[in-house]
Amino acid sequence: MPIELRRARPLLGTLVEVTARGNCEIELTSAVRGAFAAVARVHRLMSFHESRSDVGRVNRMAHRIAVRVHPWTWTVLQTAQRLSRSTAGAFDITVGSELVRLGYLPSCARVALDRNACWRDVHLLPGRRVRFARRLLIDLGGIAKGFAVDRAVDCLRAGGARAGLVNAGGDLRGFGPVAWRVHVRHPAEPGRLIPFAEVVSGALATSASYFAKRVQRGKAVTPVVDGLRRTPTNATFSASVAASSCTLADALTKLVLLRGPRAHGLVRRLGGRAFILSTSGPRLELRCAD
Amino acid sequence: MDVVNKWLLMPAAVVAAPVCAYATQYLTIEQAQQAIFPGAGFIPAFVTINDAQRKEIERRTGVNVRARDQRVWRVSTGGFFIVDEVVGKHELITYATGLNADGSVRQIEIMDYRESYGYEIRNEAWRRQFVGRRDGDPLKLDADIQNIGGATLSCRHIADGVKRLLALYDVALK
Repeated sequence: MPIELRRARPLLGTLVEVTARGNCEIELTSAVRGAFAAVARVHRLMSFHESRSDVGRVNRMAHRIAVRVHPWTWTVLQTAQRLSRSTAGAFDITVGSELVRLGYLPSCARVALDRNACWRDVHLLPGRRVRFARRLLIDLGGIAKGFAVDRAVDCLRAGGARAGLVNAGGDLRGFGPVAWRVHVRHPAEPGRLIPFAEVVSGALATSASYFAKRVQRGKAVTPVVDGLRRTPTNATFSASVAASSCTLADALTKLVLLRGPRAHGLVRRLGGRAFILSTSGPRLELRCAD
Repeated sequence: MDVVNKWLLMPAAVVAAPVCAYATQYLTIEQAQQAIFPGAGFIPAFVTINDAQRKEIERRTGVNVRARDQRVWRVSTGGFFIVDEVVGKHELITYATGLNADGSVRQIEIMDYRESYGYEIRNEAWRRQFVGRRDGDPLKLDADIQNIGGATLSCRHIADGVKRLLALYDVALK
């Protein structure tokens, strides 16, 4: 008789849920514990809020000296830079300063940030060292959750789970011979849950602004900022991306929120598949690339 | 693209009836105790705080103290185990916090997560009914919902709750 363990902890600013199935409870308990430890580690390394995290350290010092980072942070930075290049700068981790301005991130010391800074000013040097060409702030909020899910899945697999699902606030990945049913929120009424897909083996990330939207100086703002225009998206739809890794799926949802249906082709070329859930009057519309 | 092809999208289901409430139980009290302090013994040390203590906790944390009674256990290996609840606009979360002997947070585990939308949630009496109930909930909770793929509510309320418990430790447990 297979055993299922399902646990949830508050991490990465959201609820992280880990489900694992297998034959041995002791083995599963330790695999689940390991999965949460991996997520907690990503949190410690990549939190904007914690000054001792890798992100905190580079934001404070990388404009002066090259700062060495953990291999995990390094991997996320490399992926982010690659995505910036292939999305012509739409996806950009240097929007940290805009997020501070919009009130989504706390402002650190009164530092003069360079308004012209972009992803090209983040230099990844040999020896896992990071150097900024201008004074800027990076934020990995658009990609670190997906990366954490991938690392947690690694732990579940290595720990002997036959099947499992890790869900970090809507960024999820499943594995094993199980069809995991996933509901997504109605984009206009987030309390309504809509059966959406079955995940057999792969990742599905969903982003939308229903809980994050705020009004600033009479204008609705969101925490998803266009790297080129340096303005937040005003998308009213929800964007889901299926991909083999949750890191990629998570990051690509931001591109879809910024570019809408025009992103379908690019998402496809980068290895994902985009779904847009929107409302048109009382009707719910799902658009996906064929 | 084989990963993508493994996906079964169900367009017909998009017009399905709305579901307005969702609940998951992750751990019972005993399971949460063993998850945070494996192998330890637990002695109930429930606390009822007085007015002065409530005010002091609120002053230190800026967080409202809703309940005067706090479910606390003393752990045989040192430290405390506390079961607490936080209520957001749409969610009700029961969670367990393990404190080390020095008062630092050892681990937090979610025990119950419930989410609801609609007018009822504003009603305090209805909410009270919601708290701690296992059976006969006034709401129809959809058991088919396994995973919510859309963004979850932030865990800011839990962070505030833990802040409140750390102040409780200083004021009433230490």
